[in-house]
Amino acid sequence: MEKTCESLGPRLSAYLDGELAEEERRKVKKHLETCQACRELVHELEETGTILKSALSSASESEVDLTGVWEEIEERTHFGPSLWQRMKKLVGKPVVWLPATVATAAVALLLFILPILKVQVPIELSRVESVYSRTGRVMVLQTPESGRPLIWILPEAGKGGSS
Amino acid sequence: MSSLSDEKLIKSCIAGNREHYRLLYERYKDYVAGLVWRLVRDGEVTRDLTQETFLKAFKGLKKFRGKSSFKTWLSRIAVNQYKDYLRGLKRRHGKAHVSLNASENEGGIELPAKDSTSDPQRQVLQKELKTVVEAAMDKLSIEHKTVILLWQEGFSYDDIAAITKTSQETVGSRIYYAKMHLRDLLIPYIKGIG
Amino acid sequence: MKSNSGKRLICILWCLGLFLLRPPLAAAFSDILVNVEVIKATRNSTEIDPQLQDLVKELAPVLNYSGFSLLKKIEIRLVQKGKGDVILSSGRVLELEFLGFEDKQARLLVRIVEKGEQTFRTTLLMVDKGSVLIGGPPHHDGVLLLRIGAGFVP
Repeated sequence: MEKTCESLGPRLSAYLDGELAEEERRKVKKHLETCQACRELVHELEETGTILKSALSSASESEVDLTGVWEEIEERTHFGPSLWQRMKKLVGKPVVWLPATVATAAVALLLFILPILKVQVPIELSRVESVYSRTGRVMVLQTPESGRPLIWILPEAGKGGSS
Repeated sequence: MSSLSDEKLIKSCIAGNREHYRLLYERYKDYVAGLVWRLVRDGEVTRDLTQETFLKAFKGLKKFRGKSSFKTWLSRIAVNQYKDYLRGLKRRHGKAHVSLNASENEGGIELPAKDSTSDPQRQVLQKELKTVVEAAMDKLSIEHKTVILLWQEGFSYDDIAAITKTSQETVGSRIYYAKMHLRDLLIPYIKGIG
Repeated sequence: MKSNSGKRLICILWCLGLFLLRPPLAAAFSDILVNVEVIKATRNSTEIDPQLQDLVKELAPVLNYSGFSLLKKIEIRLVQKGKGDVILSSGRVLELEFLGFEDKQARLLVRIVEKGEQTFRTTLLMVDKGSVLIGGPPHHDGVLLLRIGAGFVP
């Protein structure tokens, strides 16, 4: 290849990929009409590109098992609006005002009466952060009385058995 | 599979819709796993890096501005995870570039055993070519390997530049030199096919 | 503005109330004591183990079983990152792993493994003296029901 053409290599590659601006593409095309060496280089690049695309395109042959990956992602991510955003949303709604007044009275009651009665009021319940079942069918409920989580694993569809 | 666009799904995710996170994941998990697999070619590592890619993507969804496609943005995260993984290997094993399937041969690639009386053209089946190309890819630098894989995925130079945090010019140059290097390594097979 | 001041006042009162009612921090705890009750629920019997009366009453609106028997009751102390196993039946094991404390909750990984294969898995955030129920795996002429409780150990 001529020395002046060596530096054209990357541009010829970009020309092949359709990545050159119109002006640049016209210049390269004109050059190729008169330069045998560059035409050969373009041919080599095209050939190599075809082989690479053919050999590398079988992505489905990867030996990767992604079972359980989503469950891990769910476990480690906390989605949703932040607590403050949820509180703001709640407080901003006019329809909340009546219950809010009642709630304020309840808080006042708790502040002054409960310490006297020394009652332990549980404010949290255990909860389910993530769940996976091989059958793909799981229900997560709460018992009506205590609000305790109940996870129910259902059999695979069509295999019968229900609560 | 949902017909909702990526943009709609992302907006919905940011608002807290857990199911739409799942849809985005299902939509792109094979692509990400495929890309990472071709970079590392180790099942366990691919699984881990795929998981980390989606974790990072979901945690940073609010920062996604929509300037590039979601696929491009996800690819950038995947490539960064790959580079972090290599840096971790380097720290642990002191290797500047670790290629998990690198040949022992200096410069060349391991070619399947040749019978001196055989016809190379008949011997080159698609599967064998794939193996040879993969071995050749392992001889490339991380930067060249990454751009070639992204180029093969159909990304524009502009997208590849965004993913690899370089310029279009650098991308063009790397693709060219990667192709020329691979050509040198694949010459016996190219001549056999042609 | 009057409505904004009202909103702020309510917010402040709520926060104050919650703050005063806060339970003690789990930072003082190191291990957890996990109680596992393995129960068989069936429709082929009406016998209810006396130890399960409270549970049966609680579950009556939700489950449609008439007979409850306590198969096993076991207590396992787990340190952080510690693991424990409970054999549920032939070829079926309940695996527990205490992943650590987070704020006032203990993160507990629960798995059911059958013949070496994981068939169920859940991560629970347990409060002190809290419990969770897991049910459904077939067992003889009924199903298994697990009551898993956790107590924090200083």
